[in-house]
Amino acid sequence: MPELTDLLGLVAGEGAAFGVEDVRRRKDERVRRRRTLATAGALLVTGFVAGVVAFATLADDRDRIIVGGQPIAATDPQSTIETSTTASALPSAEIVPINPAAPTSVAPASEQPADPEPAPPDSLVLTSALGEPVTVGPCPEVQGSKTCPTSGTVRLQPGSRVRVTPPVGKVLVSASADDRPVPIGERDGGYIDILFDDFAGTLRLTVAPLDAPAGAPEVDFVVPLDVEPAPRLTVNAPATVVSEAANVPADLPATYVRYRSTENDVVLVDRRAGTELQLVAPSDDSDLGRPIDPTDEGACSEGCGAWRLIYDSGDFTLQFTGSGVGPGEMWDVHIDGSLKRRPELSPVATSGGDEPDVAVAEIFGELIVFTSAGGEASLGPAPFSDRGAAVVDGDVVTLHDGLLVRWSGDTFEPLGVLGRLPGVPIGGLMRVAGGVAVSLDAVAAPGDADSSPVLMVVPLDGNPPVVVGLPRPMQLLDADRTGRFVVLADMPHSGTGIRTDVEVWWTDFASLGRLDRASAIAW
Amino acid sequence: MAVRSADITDFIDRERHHLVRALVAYGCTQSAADDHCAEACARLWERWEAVHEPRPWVYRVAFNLARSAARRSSHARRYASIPSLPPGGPDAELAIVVRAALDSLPPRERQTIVLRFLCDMSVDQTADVMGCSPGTVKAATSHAIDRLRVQLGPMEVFDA
Repeated sequence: MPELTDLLGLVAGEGAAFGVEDVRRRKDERVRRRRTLATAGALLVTGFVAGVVAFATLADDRDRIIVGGQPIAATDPQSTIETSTTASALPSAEIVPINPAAPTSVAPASEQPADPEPAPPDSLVLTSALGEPVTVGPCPEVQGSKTCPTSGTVRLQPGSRVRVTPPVGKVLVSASADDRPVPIGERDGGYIDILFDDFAGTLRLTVAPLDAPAGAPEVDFVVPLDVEPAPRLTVNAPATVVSEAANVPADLPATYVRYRSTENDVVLVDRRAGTELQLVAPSDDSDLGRPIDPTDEGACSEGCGAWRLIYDSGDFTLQFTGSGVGPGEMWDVHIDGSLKRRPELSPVATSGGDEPDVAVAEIFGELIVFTSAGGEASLGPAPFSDRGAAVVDGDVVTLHDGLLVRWSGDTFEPLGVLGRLPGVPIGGLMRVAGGVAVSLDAVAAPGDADSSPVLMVVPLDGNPPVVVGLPRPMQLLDADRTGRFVVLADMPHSGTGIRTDVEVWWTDFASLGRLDRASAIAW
Repeated sequence: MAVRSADITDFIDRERHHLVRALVAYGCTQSAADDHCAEACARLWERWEAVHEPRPWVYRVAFNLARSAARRSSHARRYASIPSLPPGGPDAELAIVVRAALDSLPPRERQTIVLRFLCDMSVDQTADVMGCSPGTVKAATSHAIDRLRVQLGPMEVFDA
């Protein structure tokens, strides 16, 4: 009489295929990603501010503000905003210039103080200025950012963000541009991102602490917007275009989406705006511009890896093909920027296998290999639309121009066992033990005029492949980790997800056969 | 901190195989189990100083990830693990039957069975992982064993 524990052991697999170092890398990546996501998410990030707290006094002209203490910067009422506050309530401000070359503020440079007085240590002055930034106080340059821990005058620029550290309590920020309200939020410190459309003009920001007593002064900042759009907003890593989409359909609109993965995020690029930008949160129906939160239900976490973008009569379909969470999930990317998940799932061949360090995607007819380190390389035009790929010992095995090839990073090694088979439908290509399995819909055996579907297991050690005929064209759906089992199914590649005729085959390269009991599996 | 760092690496090194096997038995594919396990371990590492009972914590997170993944991808269950068995061996067909029997269980009962009889957890430990009462675990265990006996026939069950 079997023991339940022993029975469970039969289906428990062989244990982990990763090590502690893999976990350490993932943990480090999580930390890094969390930091990055904290700063990403705005369409065009403009303007500025936060940081001024407590006792702000609004000057009559609303362009000059003196808050307690002594004014320490130029006081031209048309050009500057000055604030000072006490040390106890003083935030520090970190300005992240996104477009340093762009002209910025409202005041002419000539009106700026050439040599402003040193700011008292308990004051902070933020000045909207034109021309070269005027900086007062200890504002060290740190990776392009200026941090003014105690005082100083910093230039405000469109597309700038002001980080208030430490948090100084809730700050209400209201903004308008050309008398139109600008969506904006309130934050407990941190960045304040200001979203606006493509209008030009001026942006007026009003900042006041929420917990200030009634009648407490507000602080206004006026920032011109007639500047170039903010340049790229990058996420995780400098976003580069994976592919210029050599096979872009002729009727592709001028505005189309380019994209790449920064490991876990999808960055969509709006060519029309000339900006790269959109982090798309798949869990939302049309939430363009919001960073992906890996904890979101439906967000693509590690393992999505690969995807392809399918152009279909005006819209795009984003189809995850990785082996991790959500393989085969379909997302529609519409030209208007919305992203919607398709209710029906369509299975696709997994491409990453069980080695997530390398993933393969077909993008506009081009086969792209991604690595978890952020690298990518093109394998050239893809002759088949749904051929699949497998990762074997870190190398990519796929079909290239009709040949089964092994790609080791910079060279192709034609395996050649298939010969040139342009046009032969591929039912799948998958890693199995010691090699790859390929199902082909119609292949003529040597000396045989009739073509027939075959399942071919190709060892990568040079031994001849094992080939068996299939009763009908079948899709290669899956393989177990050791590759002793492969799963074939009768179904179109874009079916409903309901499989009515699934067969499990096993192979050890010496024999290949069907498990009679396969139908017992509840697929 | 160095000591704690060594603790976490030792813990991960010790538990990862058990956890992945549990997830595979639960119904994850091997790669998904690796993914969920690594993710749970990474999260544990981040919170190592604050987590007092790491084993139930990491199991709970990993199984939550597995359930979330299954919800996100309704066909994920269809990619159930194909057991790694000697081709044509006597256990191959039995494994398929066991797999089917496990898949027929509700997820909570399946998790209970895996935690108790594969991971060798007690009722209390299982309840801790699943966030329920020991009574619930006992009931789920009883129901699951009854169902499994219907499909798999008589079998011995040694209480963990």
